[in-house]
Amino acid sequence: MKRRVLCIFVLILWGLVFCTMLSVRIEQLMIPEVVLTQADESEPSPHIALDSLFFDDTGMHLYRPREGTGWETGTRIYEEEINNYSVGENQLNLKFFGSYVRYASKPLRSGDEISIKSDLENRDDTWLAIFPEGIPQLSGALTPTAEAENALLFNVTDTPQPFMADRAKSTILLVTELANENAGSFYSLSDVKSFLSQLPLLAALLSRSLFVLILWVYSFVLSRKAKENRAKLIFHGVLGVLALFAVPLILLHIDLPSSLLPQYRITDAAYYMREFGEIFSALNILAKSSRESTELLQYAGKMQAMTLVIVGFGIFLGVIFILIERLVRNKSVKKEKQ
Amino acid sequence: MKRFFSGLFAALVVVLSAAPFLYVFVRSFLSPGGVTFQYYYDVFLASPKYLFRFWKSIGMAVCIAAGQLLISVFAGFGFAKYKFPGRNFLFFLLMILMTLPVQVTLVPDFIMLGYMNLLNTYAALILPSIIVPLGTFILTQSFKSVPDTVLDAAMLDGCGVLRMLFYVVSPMNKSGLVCVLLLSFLDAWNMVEQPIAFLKEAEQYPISVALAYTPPSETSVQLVCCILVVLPALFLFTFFNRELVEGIVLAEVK
Repeated sequence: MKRRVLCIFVLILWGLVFCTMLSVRIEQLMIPEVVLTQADESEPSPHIALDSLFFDDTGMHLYRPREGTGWETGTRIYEEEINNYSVGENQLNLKFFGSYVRYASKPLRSGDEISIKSDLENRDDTWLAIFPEGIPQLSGALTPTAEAENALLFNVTDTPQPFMADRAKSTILLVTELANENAGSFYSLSDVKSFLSQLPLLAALLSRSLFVLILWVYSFVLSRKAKENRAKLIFHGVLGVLALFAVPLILLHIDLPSSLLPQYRITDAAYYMREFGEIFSALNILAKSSRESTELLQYAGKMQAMTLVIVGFGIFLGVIFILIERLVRNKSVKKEKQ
Repeated sequence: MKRFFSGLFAALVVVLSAAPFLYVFVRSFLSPGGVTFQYYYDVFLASPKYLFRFWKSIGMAVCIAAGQLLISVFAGFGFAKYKFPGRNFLFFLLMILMTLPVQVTLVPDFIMLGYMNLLNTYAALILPSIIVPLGTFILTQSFKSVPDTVLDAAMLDGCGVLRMLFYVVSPMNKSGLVCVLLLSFLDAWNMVEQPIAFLKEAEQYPISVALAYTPPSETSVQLVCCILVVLPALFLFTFFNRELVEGIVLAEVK
């Protein structure tokens, strides 16, 4: 009984340490990146660009950054009261001067912690715009390089990073289309590629956890004869600790682009299936007329295969490890009998 | 018939004791939409703030338990095996101190810690909690069970006092030591009044107090935190239940 309790709690302890390390990285990754805008104080009345408004199912929102306290420590965004602003013809008229959120890497919610991006680096990128209900009127600032059904590809040079769908939207669409529910979805192919390149690292993390789990199941069985198997159990424990030490090393290298992460839960599988399903079906259609799409699809295939191999390797390693240990044990038992 | 009713009564007590925990456990999986793991995600993965507090509290409780055990071993050995003037009076004083509730000692502790400039630090929680009479009382009773002839034999074999204490007396009183370690750990783990009195910043609070300060909108997250808080106690009780009972019985019998 005692040994089993110890075994179960060792696994729980391992899980808690693992979760602590993982949660540190998840929290960093899930923080939305935002660009702020300032109402010009030299003007007689405060106003900012109209694209600072955020639209969702509950209506339009304007957010201001503020420092949180207690459990909510850090720079956070809070929704501005609707009486404090009004929509003008080409601008947003405000009651107060100060900083407001203009663009965000993903949908925002009042109280969210944010990371403010000010010194933006620029790079060339390819944007994918998908309009499920038909292509609306474009602003004409950018010309699509490829077009198929309801998807458009835009090659953009020297664009600020990180990619923010709202900024792409306000560049491509007319201001009047921004609040439209059919404003479509916008993606950066550089971000998609960067996300795919992280899959092997995520697989390494999963594979390590599976290896430890297999090891634990075997140790649980061995713990019935704990005195006989003391050396093995200690060795398994050391392996478990070593596996844990490697976790932060992997986590440090995982850097998922914020624009492709879900709003609330990083583990939201349905979100990834929906988003990547939409991206890849558009890329498949565009592949005939665009080299970037073909290359990205090939890259995705390569990364998927690599991910499966790494996860399989973790399971294989666990099983092989047990088989070798059993083989060595059987041989030593035979020798003892002889 | 008598057996039936005593069984029924025992079952009732078990159900009533386990009911709050069962409620917390079941409710932590429920949301208005049905079964969910969202609250577990919020506590264990979304942010390290809850787990960091958990580890901080573990560290603090381990320091208190280890310190209390060390002091109790020396003091208990002194009371049990050495005759010195005023021993019985001091032991009687120790027993009186045991009856004092924590709230009574809060103000003098606060003043002393203020003089030492230790307020708003974890040392303010650890230091006063190390010097608690219960451990000394339990170990005094436990060490009395070691026959003097064993100690004499150890001394004849060339054992010094420290060596005798750690290699002869302590191994013979494992259950007493485990009992003190367990009770002091759980006492530190469930600490509420001291952090509120000695710490100013809510961010410093251990998880036992911090639970009450989670945003009111996160009631379900609080329930998952409750499960997290129960884990160390659950482990200690299931793993050391025999030693705990033996240690308490030993202290009572003496």
